[in-house]
Amino acid sequence: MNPAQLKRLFNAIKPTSLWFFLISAPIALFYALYISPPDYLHGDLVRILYVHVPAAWFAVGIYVIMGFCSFASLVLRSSFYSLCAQSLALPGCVLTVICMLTGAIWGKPAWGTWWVWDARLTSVVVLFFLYVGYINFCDGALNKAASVLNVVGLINVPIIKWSVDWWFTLHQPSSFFLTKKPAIATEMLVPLLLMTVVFASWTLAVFTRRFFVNMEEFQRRHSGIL
Amino acid sequence: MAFVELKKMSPKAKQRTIRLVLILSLGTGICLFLVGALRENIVYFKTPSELLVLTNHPKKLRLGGLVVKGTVHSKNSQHNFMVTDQKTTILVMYSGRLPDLFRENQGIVAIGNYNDSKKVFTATQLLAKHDQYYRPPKITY
Repeated sequence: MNPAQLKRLFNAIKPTSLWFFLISAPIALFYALYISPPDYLHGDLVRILYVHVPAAWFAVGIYVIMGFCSFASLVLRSSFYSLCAQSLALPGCVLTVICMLTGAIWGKPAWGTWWVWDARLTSVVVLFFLYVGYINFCDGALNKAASVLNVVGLINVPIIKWSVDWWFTLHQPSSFFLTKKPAIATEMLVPLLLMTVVFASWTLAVFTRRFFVNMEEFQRRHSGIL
Repeated sequence: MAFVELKKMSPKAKQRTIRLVLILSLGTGICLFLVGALRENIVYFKTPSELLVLTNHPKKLRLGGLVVKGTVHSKNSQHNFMVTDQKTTILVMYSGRLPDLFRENQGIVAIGNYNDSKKVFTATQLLAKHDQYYRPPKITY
């Protein structure tokens, strides 16, 4: 797809994603907070998982997509892909913060500490700083410095993903496997996937809105078309 | 997507792609090297076996393992129990409040120091570790 087609797609997604978010959020929260059972070990605390895990997935996922956009913007000298990455940075950064906050709130009663500097938590802090650095370097049009930081920072992604397997960490390994069924009971998997839909539609709603705002700003400054 | 169609790219764009990929792979190489070199220092805790082979014990270290079933003895807020990695077992003494998730057969990380002559690990802080399995109570999964 070329930029013109993608812009048409963003335009179509803009209202749909917001409605999707507004409708799916109460349903998913009702499942997560009320219908789903407590955990055998964590009790009702397990409900934090339904926010913590999708936030973590999207914090990393958005960073990867941004990385591809930044790569394309550097290679093609394309402001369009640069604007895509810039519009994703804020939701990505917010989700990283949500992931860390909910993790801390869960960690205090479950582990006995708000925070430890193990490999998983530390690599997520690095992700947060990469987002902050990117947003700080953002200068609207062809932000080369920010894009390079974004692309180089992709190295952190596999470290986050496999930190729990490569080293002894306090954080437990992933509950999802490539070949086995997940280590989460179905009654708990349903609200988790519903919340994933909520986070996805929220991300798309924020992204599309920010994209068009950024694009208008860009066009005003450069008095040209993208 | 448009940007992966190498054939349609201008020669300059191709050059930039190659340069960027080179920088990225160099960066990855450096990171892998660093991670490999720091391997020992990145681990959050040591297992009982790893702790026993240490010749000089630092003032503060973290010991991780499973709480051996039937070894937990608590008196007031003084607790002692055995921690194992299935090969070596170490006695841990801890005074204070146990974390909510502290159970027999569950993982813990004890922060404190090891007394070589007494063969006792004195913990000043205790963290509970849990696995990645989530399920409702009383259902075998």
